[in-house]
Amino acid sequence: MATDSRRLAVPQSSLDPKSLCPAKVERLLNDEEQRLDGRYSSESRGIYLQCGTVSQAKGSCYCELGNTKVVCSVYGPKDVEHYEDFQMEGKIKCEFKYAPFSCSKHRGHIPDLSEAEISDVILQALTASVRLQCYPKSLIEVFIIVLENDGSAVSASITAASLALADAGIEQYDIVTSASVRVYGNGNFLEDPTSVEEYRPQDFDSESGGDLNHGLVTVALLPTLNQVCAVLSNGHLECDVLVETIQMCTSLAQNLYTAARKCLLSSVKSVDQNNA
Amino acid sequence: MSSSTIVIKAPSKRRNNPIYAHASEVFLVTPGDVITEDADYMRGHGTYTNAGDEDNKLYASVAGVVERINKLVCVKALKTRYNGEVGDVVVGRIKEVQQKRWKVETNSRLDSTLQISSVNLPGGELRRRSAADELTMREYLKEGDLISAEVQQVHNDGMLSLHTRSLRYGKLGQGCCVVVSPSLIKRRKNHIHNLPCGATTILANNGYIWISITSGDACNEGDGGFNVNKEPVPLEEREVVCRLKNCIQCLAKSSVMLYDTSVLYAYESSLQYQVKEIMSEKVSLEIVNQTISLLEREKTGDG
Amino acid sequence: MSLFGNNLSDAEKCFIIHGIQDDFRTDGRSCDNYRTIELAVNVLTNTHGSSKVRLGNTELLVGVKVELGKPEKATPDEGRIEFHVDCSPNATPAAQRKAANKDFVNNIESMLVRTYANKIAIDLTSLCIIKGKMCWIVHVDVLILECGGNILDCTSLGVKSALQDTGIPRVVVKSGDEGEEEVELPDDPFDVQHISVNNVPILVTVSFVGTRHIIDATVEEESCCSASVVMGVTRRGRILGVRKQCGGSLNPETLVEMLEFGKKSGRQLHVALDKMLKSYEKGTTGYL
Repeated sequence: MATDSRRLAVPQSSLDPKSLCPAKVERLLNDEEQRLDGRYSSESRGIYLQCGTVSQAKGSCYCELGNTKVVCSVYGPKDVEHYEDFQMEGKIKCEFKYAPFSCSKHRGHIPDLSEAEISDVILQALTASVRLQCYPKSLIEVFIIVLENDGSAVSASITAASLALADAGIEQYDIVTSASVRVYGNGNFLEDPTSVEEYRPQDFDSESGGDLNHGLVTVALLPTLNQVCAVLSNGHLECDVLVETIQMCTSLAQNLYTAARKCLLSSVKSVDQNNA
Repeated sequence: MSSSTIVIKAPSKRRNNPIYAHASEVFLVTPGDVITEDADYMRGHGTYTNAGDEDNKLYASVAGVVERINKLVCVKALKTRYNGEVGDVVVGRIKEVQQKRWKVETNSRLDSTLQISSVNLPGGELRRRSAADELTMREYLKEGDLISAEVQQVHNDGMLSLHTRSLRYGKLGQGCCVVVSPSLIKRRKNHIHNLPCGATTILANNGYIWISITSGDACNEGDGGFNVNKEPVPLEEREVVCRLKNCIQCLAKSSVMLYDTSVLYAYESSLQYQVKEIMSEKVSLEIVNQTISLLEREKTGDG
Repeated sequence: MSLFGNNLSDAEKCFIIHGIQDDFRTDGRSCDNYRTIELAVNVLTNTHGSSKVRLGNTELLVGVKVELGKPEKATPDEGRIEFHVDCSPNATPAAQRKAANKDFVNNIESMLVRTYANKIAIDLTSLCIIKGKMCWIVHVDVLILECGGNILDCTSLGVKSALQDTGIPRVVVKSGDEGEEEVELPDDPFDVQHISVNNVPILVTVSFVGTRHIIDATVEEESCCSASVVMGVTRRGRILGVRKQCGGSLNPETLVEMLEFGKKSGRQLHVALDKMLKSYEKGTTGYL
């Protein structure tokens, strides 16, 4: 396992104290159709977006979705690192990382396999939207750190990344917005799940969970063009349930567009007023 | 859409060796074998002598067939990288665009070069190459493009200089490229064939075979041939190209020499099957055996 | 994911895209045909289960070894399954850099982990020996010998066959001295139990080229594809994981069509694979 030699190593046999408590399988929807935090199943949390928070970066964006906090910073366009990467189109490099203290379980300093996978998914979403032919032989670097993970971190990251790119003045076809939906049992769709509500295989035993649909679907969308640029799902879903969930995520992402646009315009306006 | 049946089968013992009626006598050697002890012979490629040896024993340095031309002895290896000779027809892929030339990948030891003075630029043959041409090189040929060219010069280290200063050569348009070993291409007078089935093949000496449809004009248009036709190819002609591609791949897998006659015989033998069936083991062996029997019949008919 | 993709010229890509539009690909296949698949199980002697798959030009080996270990604290009554993918030097052209190779391999590993990380694919409770103390850990190692396109589908076929072939020694739990439980391995090496692979997923990659979608893309077709969707499909038609690859965008309707198409192809693959594996069990096919 790769370790960082400059840091004091965490002892290999250390335990998270929560693991010694008996596992509680809570019902995510009570009898009045209310979720654990009081929302209804088709209610999203409020979103807060602010551009220009990291002064060193060319462009940046801070996003809060309930308790989930994500920072994205964009560097570039700059020269490609290796000569072999020479292409007439630009290249985007994306790195997604959970901060070690962000999740309920301690995460390592080196990005692991799941973070590499999410970096790749976010890269696909951004590649669909950035006009790379305007940046030949150039590299655009996008760094995303999740400061606190309370569910829907991937969708918050994608939205933040796209706004950070816009803040950096990089040409895009459209702002990318993204949303997640949790499928819980048959016919229950929980919009914008928190970390407790996200899909975890150990919460169900095969008999009761077997025939029902459970899973988490994240979709990234280009709202004005109505094109899907990233899809990610896990869990077990029937095909028609999956299709319905994707359509639900698409409409949620569509609704997010107004908030994202408003944030971007207000940051442009404030820069404009400062210049004037 | 046609009904698709997915076939999963167990691996079978591959019988790649086709059945030859008459096997000709060949002298096969491996590295270290003594070819001859006669001092009269001149040494060619693939051989060496031990300087300190009293008898002038000639040893082989590669595994292959011994070729004797008068007093010259050389060993032709069965699978080599392409060694170019002046006048060869090659098909290459542009790897890099450099200052006044393009670097072309031709399946040889070193990448070949194509100087900007060796291509036909739009505007006529005798046009002077200006500084503007150097800057817009990428508009003519960029990374990934396929060209057909002739070897102009072979340098000391084996690097080839190519030229496309004839209307027969230039940037290649829509079609398929098949890569085979250079030793399977038979040396002939002509390597660009317009087959009667409606396709044009270039059986280049370096093992890159290009198959495309025969375009209306026999050669490229007068603007230097750098604009390729991007119109969709009609289905019947596409079928011919794909059938030829599959046939050539079958022949190459069974190490049959490739030249216009063998390719044509293979095409005719394959007409009874569907294009996608040609790639299966059974059918491909059928086609290869039929091709060989037709070739041998022709040989005994002539000689 | 055209890591091994050739650098194709624009005209060649044009030819491929128009061919797909006419439902006639460069090797004569139609949009929904797979290339010939060759499969052999029980090919490696030092493993508990193994398989070798060849799909067109793509070839890989899968070896499964089971080891005794401790279960995770969060799931004391479950065993574990771990995936590892390796690309042999034969498969990698010399020009490829190490970082790009690692991305390619991580891509496959993460998709396998994603589609197996649920209660449906493998019944992990069957791998538990002593609750909280001992369980079986199944290590699935994939070695890519040759990459000719469509590596994910090929890998999942190999993994399912190898898991079906895996024989876990049938252990007996006895109470030893001082009330502690002891585990005894059988004397007979053929006294094994098999994992149930009824709900194991097969990955199907549906690529969108030009204006149509195809399955089983070759390396050349992968370099022309604008977007592709990988999905894990069980025999029943359940979808265990979806991920979009390649940086292009899709119409929502097209995405739905591709998912339905992938589910249909996945179920057909399961049927063909199960038939093949059954004939191996009966001993009717084999090398000799």
